[in-house]
Amino acid sequence: MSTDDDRLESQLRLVAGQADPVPEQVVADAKALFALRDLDAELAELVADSLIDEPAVLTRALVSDVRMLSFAHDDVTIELDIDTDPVTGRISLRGLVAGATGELVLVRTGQRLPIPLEDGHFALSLAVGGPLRLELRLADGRRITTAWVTV
Amino acid sequence: MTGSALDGPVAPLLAAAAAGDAAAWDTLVDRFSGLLWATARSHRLGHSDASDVVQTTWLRLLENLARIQDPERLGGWLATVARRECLLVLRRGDREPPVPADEMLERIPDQRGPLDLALIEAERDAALWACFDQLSDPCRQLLRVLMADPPPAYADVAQALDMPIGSIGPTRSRCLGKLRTLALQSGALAPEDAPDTVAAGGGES
Repeated sequence: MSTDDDRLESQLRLVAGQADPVPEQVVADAKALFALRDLDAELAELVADSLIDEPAVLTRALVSDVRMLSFAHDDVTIELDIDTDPVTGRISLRGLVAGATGELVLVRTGQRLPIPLEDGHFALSLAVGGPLRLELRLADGRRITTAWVTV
Repeated sequence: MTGSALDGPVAPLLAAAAAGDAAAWDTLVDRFSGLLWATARSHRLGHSDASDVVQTTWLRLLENLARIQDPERLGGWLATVARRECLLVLRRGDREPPVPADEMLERIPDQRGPLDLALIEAERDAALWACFDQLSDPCRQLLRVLMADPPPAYADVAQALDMPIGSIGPTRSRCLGKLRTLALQSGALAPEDAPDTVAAGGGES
């Protein structure tokens, strides 16, 4: 039986390779990510995510559709609320940087977008698409980046 | 997709990538992208959501390159990240409808050569894929991950689907049995492909 199973599985693998192969672009994008590696920046880890932490409010979340994330590195925290509008295909980002002041940049693959900060608050709207992270450049030259988030 | 780098030890590749070797990173991507794609697709994610999940998973590794505790279990680590990202996408709601099976069928080339034999083979492949899509969710999910190219380790499959490693072998066997029955009925498999037990009328329930 096991050789029959192995044969059928191999056949399936061949068929899957035709019907649903890993898109070449996905592999190329993954390889290109290596250039994004940022050894000098300090990572602000994701410490809270409403999608993960509050499954009980799922129904409410479906109504408001706002995902709330918190990142932290030492004393610096970055709050990020993401509101996705499925109709327009746009996402609204609002948030707050606390514990440090500096310049904030939105990073996507192949894109860096400065975000104005007002007393630590920020807000912007952009098209849906791909993972993003926020990078905070502090006055002393240190850079803190959030973990990547897919929106 | 061949070469020893695709089945050799992972630890040296991981160490080299952490030290800045882009070629080592590329090899890791070649080796595990099939597993990650299959994991995303096994969760019925559409094309662009699946692409995002794979990309996010690689980004997560990039952030943690120097911090992977057990390099030889990298596949399981990646599969776990991918599964969690899949669940987040699903929880976020269906932004993109999953691709129906018949649409994927169209991607199977109608012919691979002028020979009738090749045509018949392609038709059978399409029929087999259609049978696969008729399987129950747990079977379809497991087989889709097992179909990854290169073939994934059971330990990685267990992480991709959050199932006990010990149940993979028996479940695989049962699911392939169901698929074989469907495929024989529909002509996707020729009778000579049937194992002796089924050909003899024994079958399995």
